[in-house]
Amino acid sequence: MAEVHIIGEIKEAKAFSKQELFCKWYLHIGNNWRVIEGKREGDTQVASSPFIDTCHWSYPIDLHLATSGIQGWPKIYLEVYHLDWLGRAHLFGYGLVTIPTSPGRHTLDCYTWRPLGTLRDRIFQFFLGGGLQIKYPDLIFSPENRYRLSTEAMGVVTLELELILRNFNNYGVEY
Amino acid sequence: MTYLDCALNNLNIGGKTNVEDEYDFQKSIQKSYENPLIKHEWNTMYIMADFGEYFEDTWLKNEKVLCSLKFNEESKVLKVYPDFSNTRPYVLKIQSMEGKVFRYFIEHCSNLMPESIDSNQQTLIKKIREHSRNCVMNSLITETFRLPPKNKLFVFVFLEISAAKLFDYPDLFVEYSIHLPEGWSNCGEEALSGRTQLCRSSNNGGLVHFGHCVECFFEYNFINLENTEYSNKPYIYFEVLSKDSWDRYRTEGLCYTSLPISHSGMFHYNLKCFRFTTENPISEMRRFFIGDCHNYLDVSWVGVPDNLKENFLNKHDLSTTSTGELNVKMNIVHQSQEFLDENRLTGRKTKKIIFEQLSSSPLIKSVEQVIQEFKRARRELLEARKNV
Repeated sequence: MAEVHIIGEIKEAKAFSKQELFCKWYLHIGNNWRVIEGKREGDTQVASSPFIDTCHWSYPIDLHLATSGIQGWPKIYLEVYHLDWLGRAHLFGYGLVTIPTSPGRHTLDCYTWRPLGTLRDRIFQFFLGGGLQIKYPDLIFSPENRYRLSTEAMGVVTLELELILRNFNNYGVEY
Repeated sequence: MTYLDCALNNLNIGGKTNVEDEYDFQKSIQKSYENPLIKHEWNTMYIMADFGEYFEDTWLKNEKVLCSLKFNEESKVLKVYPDFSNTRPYVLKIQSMEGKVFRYFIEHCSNLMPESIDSNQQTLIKKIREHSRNCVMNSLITETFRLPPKNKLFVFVFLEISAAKLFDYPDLFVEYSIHLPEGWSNCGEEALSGRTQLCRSSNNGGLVHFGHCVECFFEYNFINLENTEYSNKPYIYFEVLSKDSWDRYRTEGLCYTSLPISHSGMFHYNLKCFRFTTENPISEMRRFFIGDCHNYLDVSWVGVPDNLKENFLNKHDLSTTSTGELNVKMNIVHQSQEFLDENRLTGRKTKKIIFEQLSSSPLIKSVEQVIQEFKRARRELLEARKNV
């Protein structure tokens, strides 16, 4: 049984069209993985900056995982929301990024996108806010079914992670 | 109760995970709402001196507190006030006794625990904690780590199609396909070809986001690994396509790369794409009005074609236009029993090119395999006889 420590932070969101963003994150792992310590999901605070167009979250992630196989290597799934002045949360992007397989410090860019509706949907979205959301987010994890989606590029979420791998050498794994 | 007993009580031995003990922010905040006052139950002991005197056979008390000792049962905290003082005395003046000044010291006289016992306790507790942690881990994960069979190499590829930029049309998607040469087989659940979602570019520089993660799992038999097989690497081909509002599909760009299976680690690629064009205006008009999708026979032609028989690769007399870029990221992990033995011998990790590690002694490996097969056959024969 090998172990993985993921320590780091969800650093910032950039290139989004609006400020006041927050993000829900969730760690997606395969069946043969277990979380030993740490929380595998969370919400960041709402962040905005009057001077620059990046939102800094610096949300900490500290996880300790154990596994009995390489398959199902952890991935971080993100949902970015925008909180408007009426307190409504609008979906601003889905994102999925694979945790690197080599130990050390990594800066990851998670490219986010959101579903794009028809012209009518977009007119409604422009005036009323809201927009389409994915009913079953499992669709995002399965590469076979992704082609059904029609999306629009949103912003980039940056993560800074440090990885520590343990006992993988005992099973002949070269990382 | 000694420190050791307390520590042993606090450990949870036997691998039970006590859910109630786990820190929960909601519960904790709820608790603090319910009990807004912090309760501290202190057992107090005062050390006092009596400076009284006799007044016609009756003793008049004049008690002064020299030192107070407070002990909290819950937090196991002992407060001594005022503090121990060995060098400078505390001074006590009593009003009724003019000119008399009392000086006193507070010393810590109880026997300290010898350091060796203390450190022994610490190591013991550490060991028990380690053991109980292992128990928890083993109860969480019951399966054993899957090892590849002998002479097999497992290659895990975590592919991520991140983004594309600088293409003509805004609505793009990517089709990818992995071509495996001989000796490689796909063991994963996911298909070797697929398609990302359709994505419209944002305003900043026509960047299109995909964030498409694929997990591939290949198996390679290196028993007959020879120098000639080095070039047979798996290739991945990408085709960027666009779809416009009238559902016209156009090929926007083609690119390829070999999967970096010779090294494990993380790899970033910025692939430059091109598309095929022809000189005659009709095909350009066709592309503009109707769209051209898959206007080629074999996608592997953009790299080294699969069925190349000539000695040289001729790509002369074909016009192409270079288009945008595709950002791809790959994580590679290898697993083989070969690394297991090596690690045990040397005890440290050395990064070498994978084929060097694998091709160390194919003859010995094949002999070993034959012996193992023979043993297995013999065992089966014996078992079969037993039944007869």
